[in-house]
Amino acid sequence: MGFKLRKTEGTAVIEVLHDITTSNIGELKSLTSDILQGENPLLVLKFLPSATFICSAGIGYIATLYKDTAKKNGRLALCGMSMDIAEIFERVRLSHLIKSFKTEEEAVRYVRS
Amino acid sequence: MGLVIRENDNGDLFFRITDTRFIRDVRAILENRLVEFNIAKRMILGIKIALEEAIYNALTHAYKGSTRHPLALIKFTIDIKQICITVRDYGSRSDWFLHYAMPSFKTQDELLTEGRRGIVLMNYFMNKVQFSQLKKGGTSVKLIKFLN
Repeated sequence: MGFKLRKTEGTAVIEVLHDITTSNIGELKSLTSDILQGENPLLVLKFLPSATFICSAGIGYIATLYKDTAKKNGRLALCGMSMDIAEIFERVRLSHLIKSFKTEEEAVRYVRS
Repeated sequence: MGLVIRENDNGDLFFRITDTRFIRDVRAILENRLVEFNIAKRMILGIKIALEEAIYNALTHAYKGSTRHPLALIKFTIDIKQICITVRDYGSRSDWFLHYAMPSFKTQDELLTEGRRGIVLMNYFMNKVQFSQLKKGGTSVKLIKFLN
């Protein structure tokens, strides 16, 4: 299992337990599909220290999540990214668009604001 | 067939892979080899990302619209100067990489459009990324990382 979903303060927090690669994006897609069904989806992707790697397909799916949550007047934020993962987001310039925070509390506060 | 691995007398590794499910196996084996060579953790991460992108491209984009079963051959060599990984496919779309020129990511639409990020990451983490259309069909991508 690469991801774990829980709810906190009306926000879905998905913990990223392992690297995001082509082999487990399907799992992330099925976890998020229910969340995206509702109106105003509030979603936080929390990277745990064991997640050190993300491939371009994973980044692409997170970009899709950003678009889909925005379309439904919801919000997506990221938190807990390692420096390496943050650097990857920087290289593909998504760090300019998708908000990222150090802690889960900050990310939850942002999506709820 | 899935995944086939071979090693020659020089320690070069060869992989034959038919499905993206096996990319993580190739990645894990190469990571172990890089650790044995005391390659820095950060460099290993970059090589793993570039490798993932090159194999994924070979097994998907190169075979789009083709009835052929995907197949990618990977060769890994390391010496005191450099690490070299070559990923070869037999897909009919041997010009696929021409459609994946480095994006500018200037507009929000470009930022959010899927695709071409793999090219960006390969170029960022490796010193050289060389694409070649092969005369017998298919594409070869050579990834080079200099040591020192």
